[in-house]
Amino acid sequence: MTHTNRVPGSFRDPSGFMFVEKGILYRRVNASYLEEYSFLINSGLYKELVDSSQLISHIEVESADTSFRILQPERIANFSYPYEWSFSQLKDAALLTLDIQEKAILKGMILKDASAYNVTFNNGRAIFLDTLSFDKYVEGRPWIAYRQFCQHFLAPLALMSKKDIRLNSLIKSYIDGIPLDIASSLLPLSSYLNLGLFLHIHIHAKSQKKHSGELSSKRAKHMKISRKSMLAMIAGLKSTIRNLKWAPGGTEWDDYYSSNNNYNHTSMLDKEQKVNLLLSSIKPDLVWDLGANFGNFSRVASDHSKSVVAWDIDPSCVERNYLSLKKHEYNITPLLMDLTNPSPSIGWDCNERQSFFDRGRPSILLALGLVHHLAISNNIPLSNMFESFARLSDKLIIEFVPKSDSQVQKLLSSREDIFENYSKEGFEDAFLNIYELRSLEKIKDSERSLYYLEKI
Amino acid sequence: MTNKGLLLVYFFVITSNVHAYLDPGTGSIIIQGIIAAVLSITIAVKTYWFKIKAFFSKKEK
Repeated sequence: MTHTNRVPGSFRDPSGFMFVEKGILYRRVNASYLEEYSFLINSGLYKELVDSSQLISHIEVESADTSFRILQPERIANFSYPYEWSFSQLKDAALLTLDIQEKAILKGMILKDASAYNVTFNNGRAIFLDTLSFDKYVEGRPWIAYRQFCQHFLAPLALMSKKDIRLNSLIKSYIDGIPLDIASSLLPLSSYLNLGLFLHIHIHAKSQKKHSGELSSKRAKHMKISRKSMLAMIAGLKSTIRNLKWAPGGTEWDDYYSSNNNYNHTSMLDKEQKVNLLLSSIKPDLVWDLGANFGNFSRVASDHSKSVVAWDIDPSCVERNYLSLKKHEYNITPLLMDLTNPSPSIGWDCNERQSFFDRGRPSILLALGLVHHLAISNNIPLSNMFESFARLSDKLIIEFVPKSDSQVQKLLSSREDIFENYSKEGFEDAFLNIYELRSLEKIKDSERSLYYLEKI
Repeated sequence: MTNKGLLLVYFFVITSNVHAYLDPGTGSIIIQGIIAAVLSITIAVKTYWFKIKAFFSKKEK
């Protein structure tokens, strides 16, 4: 192993780094961290966290050189970032981090960082990824990552809960979490009455401002926090986060199926059966359901694939989908994504966090009830849409919704119809040079059709 | 302090900071200390309060 093909986002922590070799992701543990790594394993903390499915498991790769270790972590089907999570996903990631912090302290370790990027969702469940985040705990010392935790988790959750759910987009602008002075100024005055938010955001922001620019502070250097006080603070943070609520509803897509439904029972059932039949013969590894809404078709896909990602633009839909999936064992991860403005590559060198297009290669895309929203609501030319889909995956199951469909009529009711090419013929012409048509079926009792396409 | 003692302090201070690659922020450290102390006292008061309540409710029974 050469360890040269480093993962671009893996450079901040000198304890080790991630690299890829022959398509497999590895983690190198540097010599400087071996003592802590051994402590993590020997203290039983690793086993406790892996047994409770909170920390990613790994196997140690044998190596003649013992000055470092190479770990091969368990495979994650699809990586996602905090700005792609719904409210409850970010909340669960925060509670997971605090739970791990508590268990670590009880075993003589502490989280040396508390970045939301340490967590991802694997088959719908939050999992902690960074095996090298654990430092030895010295009683009396403060939690170095406290500021980071407040910026990465508490500030966005408070803003989403108390101000506006769409403020999660700030996470994308601030790669090291939302600055607390911004969070404090955006939060409503009533948030001062919430003890947790008052202390961890408002007063915390004021303390940061008061002490900014100080070269050294005796008070900070000599600050001692007992284990009991540390655990009390973690418990307080947990309770503050648990009490932050957001009720999904009132967003554009939240009641889509009930109010805008163009399907009767027969056509919906027929569409489900056709998608089911197609996927049962394709047997894909990873499915991306684009515009998944509450994930009805993601559930159909989950029976025939290893893993499904249910992408949707609407925070209410992703939230409801996540909460309903949490109650069952599914291999589905709901995620938030505006396909007309997908996640870009961000961070150092524009390469620290990967774009939507660099996040792995799904075996197949589902684009059901989506084309009219892209083409008519967002003026995306059909050929551009197919080119974009072909960059993501070689296979595509796509539904064509004609102009005569009442849903399209509704979209056209408030604007001029400038979409001459939006027809069955125009749709088929648009993919002619990109995809080969493998099957075409009409959906019963509707004017819609289902295409199965494979890249030429 | 003896040389041994100094060495121990040096080892303690330096080695336990080796992996702290984040800047904790002076303001954040100070407020963390205050919050941890306040919450610790609150929990202690609550615990005693429940004990007192439990004592009297037992008596009533």
